Amino acid sequence: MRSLHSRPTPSARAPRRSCAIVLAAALTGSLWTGTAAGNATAAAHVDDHDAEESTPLVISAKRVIVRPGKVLENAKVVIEDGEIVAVGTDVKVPDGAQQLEGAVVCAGFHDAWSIAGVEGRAAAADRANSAALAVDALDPYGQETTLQELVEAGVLHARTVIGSGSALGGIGAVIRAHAAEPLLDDAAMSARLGLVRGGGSFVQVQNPDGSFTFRQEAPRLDPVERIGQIDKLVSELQSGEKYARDVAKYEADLAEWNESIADKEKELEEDFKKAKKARDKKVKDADEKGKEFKEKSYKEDKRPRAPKFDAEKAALARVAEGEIPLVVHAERAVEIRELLRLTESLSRLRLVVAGGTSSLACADALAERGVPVIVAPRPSDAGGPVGELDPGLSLAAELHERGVEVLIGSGGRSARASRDLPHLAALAVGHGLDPDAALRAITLGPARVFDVAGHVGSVQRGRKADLLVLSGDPLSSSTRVLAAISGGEVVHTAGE
Amino acid sequence: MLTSLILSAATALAAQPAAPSAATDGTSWTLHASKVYTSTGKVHENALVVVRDGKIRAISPGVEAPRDALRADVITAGMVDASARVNAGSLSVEQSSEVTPGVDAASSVDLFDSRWKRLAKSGVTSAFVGPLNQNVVGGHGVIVKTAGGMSLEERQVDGAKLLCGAIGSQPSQRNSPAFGRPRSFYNRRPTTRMGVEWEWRKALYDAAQAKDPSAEQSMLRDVLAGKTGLFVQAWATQDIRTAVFLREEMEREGFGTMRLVIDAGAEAWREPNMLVRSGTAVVLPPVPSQGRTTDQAFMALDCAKVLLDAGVSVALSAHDASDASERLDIQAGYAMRGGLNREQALRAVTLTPARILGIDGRVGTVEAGKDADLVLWNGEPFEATTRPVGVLVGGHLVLDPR
Amino acid sequence: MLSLSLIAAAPLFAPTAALSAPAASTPAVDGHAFALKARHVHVGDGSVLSDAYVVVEGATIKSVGKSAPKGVRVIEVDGHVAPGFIGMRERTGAAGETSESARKSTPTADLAYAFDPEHPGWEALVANGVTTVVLTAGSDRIAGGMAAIVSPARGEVVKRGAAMTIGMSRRSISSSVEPTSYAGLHAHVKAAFEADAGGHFSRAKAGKLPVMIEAISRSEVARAAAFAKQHGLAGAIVGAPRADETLDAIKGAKLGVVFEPLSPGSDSHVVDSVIALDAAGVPFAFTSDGRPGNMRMTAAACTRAGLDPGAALRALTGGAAALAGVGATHGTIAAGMAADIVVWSGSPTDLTSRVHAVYAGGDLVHSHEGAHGQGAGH
Repeated sequence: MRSLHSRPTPSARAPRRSCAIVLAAALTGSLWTGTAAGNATAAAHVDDHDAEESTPLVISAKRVIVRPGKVLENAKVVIEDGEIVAVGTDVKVPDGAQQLEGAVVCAGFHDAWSIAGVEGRAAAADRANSAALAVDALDPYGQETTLQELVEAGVLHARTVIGSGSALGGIGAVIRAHAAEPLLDDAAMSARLGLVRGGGSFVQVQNPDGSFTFRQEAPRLDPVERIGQIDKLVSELQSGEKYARDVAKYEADLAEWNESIADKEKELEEDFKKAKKARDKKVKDADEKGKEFKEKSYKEDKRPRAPKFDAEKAALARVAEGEIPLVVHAERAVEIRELLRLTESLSRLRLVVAGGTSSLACADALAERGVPVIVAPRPSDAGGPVGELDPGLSLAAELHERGVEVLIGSGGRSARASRDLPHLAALAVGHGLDPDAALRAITLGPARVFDVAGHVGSVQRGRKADLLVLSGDPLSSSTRVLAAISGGEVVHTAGE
Repeated sequence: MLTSLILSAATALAAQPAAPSAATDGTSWTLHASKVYTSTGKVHENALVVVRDGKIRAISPGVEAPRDALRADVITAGMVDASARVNAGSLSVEQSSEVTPGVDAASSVDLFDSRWKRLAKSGVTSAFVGPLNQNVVGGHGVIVKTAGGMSLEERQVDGAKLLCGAIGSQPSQRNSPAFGRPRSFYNRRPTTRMGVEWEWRKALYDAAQAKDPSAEQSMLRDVLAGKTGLFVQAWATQDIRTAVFLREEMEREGFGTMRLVIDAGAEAWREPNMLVRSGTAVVLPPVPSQGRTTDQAFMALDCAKVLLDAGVSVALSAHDASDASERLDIQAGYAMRGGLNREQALRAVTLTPARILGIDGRVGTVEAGKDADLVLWNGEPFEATTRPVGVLVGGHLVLDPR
Repeated sequence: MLSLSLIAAAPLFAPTAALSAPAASTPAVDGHAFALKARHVHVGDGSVLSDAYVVVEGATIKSVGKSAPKGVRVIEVDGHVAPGFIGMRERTGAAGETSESARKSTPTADLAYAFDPEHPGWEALVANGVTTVVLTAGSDRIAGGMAAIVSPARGEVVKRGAAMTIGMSRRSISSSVEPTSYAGLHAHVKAAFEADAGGHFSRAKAGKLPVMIEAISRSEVARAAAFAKQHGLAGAIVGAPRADETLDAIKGAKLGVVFEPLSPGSDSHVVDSVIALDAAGVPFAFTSDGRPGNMRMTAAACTRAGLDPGAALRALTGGAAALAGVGATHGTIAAGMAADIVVWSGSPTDLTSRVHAVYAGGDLVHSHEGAHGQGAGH
């Protein structure tokens, strides 16, 4: 039940549901699954949009990577009206189709941790709250050239976040890099742990590049102490969960009340004459006894009362109920371990760890809980003297080996950093990560974790085309992006 | 006779169908306008301006526009900004000393600076750039075309040698006296206006009286002898007076007669006779939005008018025109609102600054033989509804009117 | 992992001496010789040999060919063999040593004295396949002194006084010490040239000593190129991210360009410049700046944008050596060259490849556990 965009909406965003309704949906357990409804809207949009540009496109490639691990040799992809209508080795090529050729076709790269597309100050905001939405800060025109660089590098999607300076940084969106078109408004909530050091009225806040910024701290801001931060995060989640429970109780009570009222009314209707007679008699009796007749009141005043609306708690409730994943930027093992322990009671919470320099020390727990880790490799990261706590560029490989789902992100160092995502994934391969796992970490992996796998992340029939035509292996440094197709539209061809 | 010859030549040239389009090698064009303001007082109607190899070849009035001509309502000479501040900021000032005549702005001018494009597109085709005003004597300025090649040799225009300096608060602003141990080379004089004046006099006296003048002192001697002009920034009356008095003092002492130009002379209108007396030209700063400029000088729209009426030669400047409302054509518009007629306003942004810079042999008017620095306007120049629609710098089309 | 057994004392020009060994047609080898056999041997000049033997004897490469002499221990490597990378500007371990706060110019300074072979920072460079670096003066210097070429893995100075470093960028301009302006900077450079301390400037003017001129903005680069042309200097501009826009000036001065490495998300002008320079035949290389991973990523960014991987490798090896003036001894895999060899799991310019082993001067100085071929006799 999350709002999903299937084509650009330049002037106005698709309206979001009010939180109460969304909550109701969450409580009935119907988590968004996407496919049916999403495709229906996509198809509807396609119909009204393309009388003139209906030339089909056929891409022939030596290898079509449907998804990491599933490769079709010498296959074709047929795109009609922006939609993939056929993928296979033996497909019918429509007449008059435009031809594209390449060595490899694969899904567009997807940065799991980015600030591309959002306005700079919103990205770094240190006072965002849990109800803040990255879609509200999208700045497609201000970032046009940067976004184009991303597209040319094959990075077609990004989970873009705001509030990197805040303890609870709001809700990030998954966007298409082309024109910063939102694909999913509420992809994940982000939070940050343990990256503040110092105390008193000044604190130093760690930036994504590892450097520290000196900042005056307002009293209402994040607790400086590490444990305080975890406590705060967990208690926020718990308050969200309680809010969800309160809302659920209200909904149940309301239903019950409505039912009882309905029963009463039914009774009344069915037996109106009898009831009237009985009442008349009672009035008469009272009159005779010289007493005043007391009307038996309906329980209108006992209508259950809704909990006070709180946007932040409503957002947290959606996170606590697992409707929206929670991405926690944490580097140290102590914090990650503590986070895992304290969130055990929140059984529906979908936790994702970002950064995770020392996450290898709790790899087993992460694997067991199914918590993915977004690794943000730095090219010159040589690692520290204590291997497990700072394995440098081998982190992705070693986490993967230990059964942890690894995603790769640029870490939101800058909007343009997403452009270099393929290099970062290649570096991870150079340090031992299985190439398929690396490709998954920048395609299907983030699409699954952030609930857009029904639309992007793999090359499948029946979807809008979001894919790359490459001159070679997706992660090889000598490969060029020959063409990029985003949302069914060819948005870049090499040599332009 | 000569004119008619030129005219017929021009018509012949224009009539040549040989030029397939207006452009040949990129610096040859045929232009046509309803009016050509030449800045010499002459206005040609329905005139053809023929540009060949970056020079104006001929002007022939009363001719219909050929099909391939670049057309405009009005053509004027390219504007000249005698105080364009497209310098390298603090990197153009040698702060290690207050008096640095040895500094040459040519070594800090950045031709890749995007402001050049902005200037060129606003119709300014030549500009004088000196070092930033943070030294008493900052160094020699440089005259450059606003567009053309990317090396200084291609862009520099030989004109008057001008040494830039400042009188007023700027040169003293960063300095502080040393109490106890000096901590930086800013622990020095001058820290006041008087100190600035003292530095000027000391430098000039030392140069004039030196037995064995250093290279820098020889440069100051050229200033004293009038070989190099002195281009002094002085916003307020007191500073303008200081400059003129300095000149007169040097003359009295027998050191020579300096050629003085007051830059940014916002308050020059208060005592114009002093300037007439000393033959000093004034470059006016952009009109301030609040009435007051730097150094709390007061300037109104009619400053140019007052000075011109008194007989002072006045050029307008837009400085670096960081704001679109400060562009040079808009400054000329303000001056017209202050009482100048169009011809006077045009001269104040073309011929007069060209004369101050000593480049009027090459630019500043629309005449055969001059550089093809031309502005094409979509109406009467300097009106609020008019803007430059085409600009040529040395024949290179910087803004295309088509 | 890192062997620093041979700290430099005497053999400053040892590689040069080894050059005079007889050309290797049927080389006689001693017991210490070994040969690396690989499917791909990247020579470092842009070419690749397939199924070749690289025979190493002592500190130098004895021969490169289709066979190895009898009796030589052959190590079959599963991957690619390439020359060690050359970092064109490096100051690891020399922090604070490369600047002299009291004087802006120290033209006769010998940067070899700032070399600290024990510094732990070298390990990351060597692990990334960097076997030679040019130690240069700090970027805030004007006439910073004489760069030294060193082999960090061996702890040896390869060449003293290898190049003269000159700063003509705003990095050399301070706000509190003379000069504070470009004019002052140029006057300072001119004065330094006229003073000709140590005779280095005369040698530079005679083209006998390469210069490395730091210049960043297009204007600085244009001026630096004009200056070099005027004085007949040979060498390279260091920096120049937008060299593509001043290509004519650089080419006209017959200079190369040494680019600073990119970080993820930094401006990609360097990539455009590299491609333009390659097309124009202007030599280029990269600084390592203590970030060898970024140096490799920059090369990879260029190849992903269309640069030929051979050209990228040349910039990291043979081309860099030529710009540093040690092209005759370093940067390529050929008979007589220093045995600075890196074994990669794949193409050396590909980020998906990793270093299996690093040989510096014939010694194995780094190997990735369990990946390197075990040197089975043959």
